[in-house]
Amino acid sequence: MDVTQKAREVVSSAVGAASRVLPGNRGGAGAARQTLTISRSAEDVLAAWRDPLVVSRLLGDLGRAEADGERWTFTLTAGQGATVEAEPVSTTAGVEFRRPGPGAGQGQARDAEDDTEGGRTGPEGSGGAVLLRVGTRPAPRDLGTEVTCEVAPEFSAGVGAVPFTLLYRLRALLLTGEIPTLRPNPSAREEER
Amino acid sequence: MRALVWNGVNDLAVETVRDPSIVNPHDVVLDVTLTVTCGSDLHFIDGYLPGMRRGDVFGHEFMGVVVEAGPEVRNVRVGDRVVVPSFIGCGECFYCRNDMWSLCDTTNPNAPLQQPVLGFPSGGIYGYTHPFGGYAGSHAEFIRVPFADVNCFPVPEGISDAQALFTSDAAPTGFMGADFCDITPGDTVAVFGAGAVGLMAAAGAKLMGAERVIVVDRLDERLELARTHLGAETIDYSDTDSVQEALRESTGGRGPDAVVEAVGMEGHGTGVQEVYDRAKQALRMETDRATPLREAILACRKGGVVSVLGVYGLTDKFPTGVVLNKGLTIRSAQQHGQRYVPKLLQHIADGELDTGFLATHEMPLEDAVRGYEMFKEKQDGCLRAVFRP
Repeated sequence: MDVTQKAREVVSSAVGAASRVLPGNRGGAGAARQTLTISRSAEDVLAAWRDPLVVSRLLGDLGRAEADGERWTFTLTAGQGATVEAEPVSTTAGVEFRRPGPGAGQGQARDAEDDTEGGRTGPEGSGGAVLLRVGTRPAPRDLGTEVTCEVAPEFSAGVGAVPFTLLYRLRALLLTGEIPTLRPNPSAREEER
Repeated sequence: MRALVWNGVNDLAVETVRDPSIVNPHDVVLDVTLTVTCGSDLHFIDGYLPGMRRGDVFGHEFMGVVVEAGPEVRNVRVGDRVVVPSFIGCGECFYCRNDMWSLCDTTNPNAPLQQPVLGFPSGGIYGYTHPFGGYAGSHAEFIRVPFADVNCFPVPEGISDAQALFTSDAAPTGFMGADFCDITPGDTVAVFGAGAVGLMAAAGAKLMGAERVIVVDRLDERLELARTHLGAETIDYSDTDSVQEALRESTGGRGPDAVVEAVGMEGHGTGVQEVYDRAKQALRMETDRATPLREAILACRKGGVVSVLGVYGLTDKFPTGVVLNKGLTIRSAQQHGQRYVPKLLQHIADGELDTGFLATHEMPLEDAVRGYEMFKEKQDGCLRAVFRP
């Protein structure tokens, strides 16, 4: 084997290895779905997602949510101020915010599948109608509730961190009554003087 | 207010920034009375630890007087003289409730920045890069302290500011490192690094019952502190062919029962390995010069404990096979200060612990740039430079 061929193989191997660990290629850091355990009841968790003021606090720099009856309007930073209409639909152990269209407004998600523990697994995307999906299931050893959050691409160009961000803030809020924040935060940067 | 800020690699300045304020209902604002350099600051000052932004106020080891309290603060009052651990706990999450405060699950506003690297983010810390929270630091006239009820510890009368200051970070970190060693009477503990953390680990090991404590460093003035203030034995590694051999021979061929590594990613060494690590770190091909960590693993007796306190990034050439074949236990953490501060204050009050000798230099905050230069270059025997805002 000549040196050139060996070098090609090494480069090819390195590229292959890199591609396998890049965000989004293994369902890890790049996935728009995240689960965190929160030491509160499923009722407390879902009540938070039913309150547009709370959801706005969770969104923070990602946008805001407003509600007019059952019709919610999400204004997302990633969309440069564009709004997305959605309606909250209860599932067995969660809530989905579904965009208007076929299947919306039925009060209960039709494509949800209940698992054996009272939790919920659902098909990916549901035809693109789901903007945000939250599911719960009991955590073992009295640790509270396992909360899963999935978001549609509208939330961010790189959606991987969004579900984690939302759940981290939710956990902080439910456990401490606060969401950690840096505004205002002293620094010598012009915008913060 | 005036504050010491990071403006770039090796570029510090004392500038005027806005005052902190109560942001959340469990916050207090402290009038900082003393704040001190820490070796871990050098990692981002030197550019090895990423995540700082131009203009960041840094510093994380401090004490002060409460000047403003949020509406839901219950245990701390305006006027209280308090010391504050560097990592911020919430007191409510799984980790805080299990006394692992630096792992707090709720206090890192930038947790999404850290999750891809650590898998699970740490708690927030004052003035120590944005992935670690981005909170403004303590080298300032005032600082905001979240969750004051669990993060502020009133300092009893009779304990001076200079003594209490180091219960913020150096002392609890060192004591935690000794605690990790599961010391039983008669044990021998080696401590790599005679900085403030290493010296406090040595003090902790003594108080926890170690019969012999052997401190390893290359700076004679620091080794002298270990001998005179702590009654420790010392090894100057720059004057020793092999620290491993020296430790093995001085323990009858057994090796120390535990080794505390209190140096971190900018450790020094000797020989070819030192040159190799320096070159690789300078080229940003690795984050760490991990000679002390490797030495600690090699020096520890079989079945012993290696307690890692030094701050590292992503170390390569980690001798996993040595750990495996010697049956070592590796224990490590950023400091769980809230677990130790009350005990440390009691030790000081009882005359069992002296922390004041760590403050080799004191100066106004306006001189903090010079203070860091002295600290970094270890000029004039500087172990720690304390700033008085």
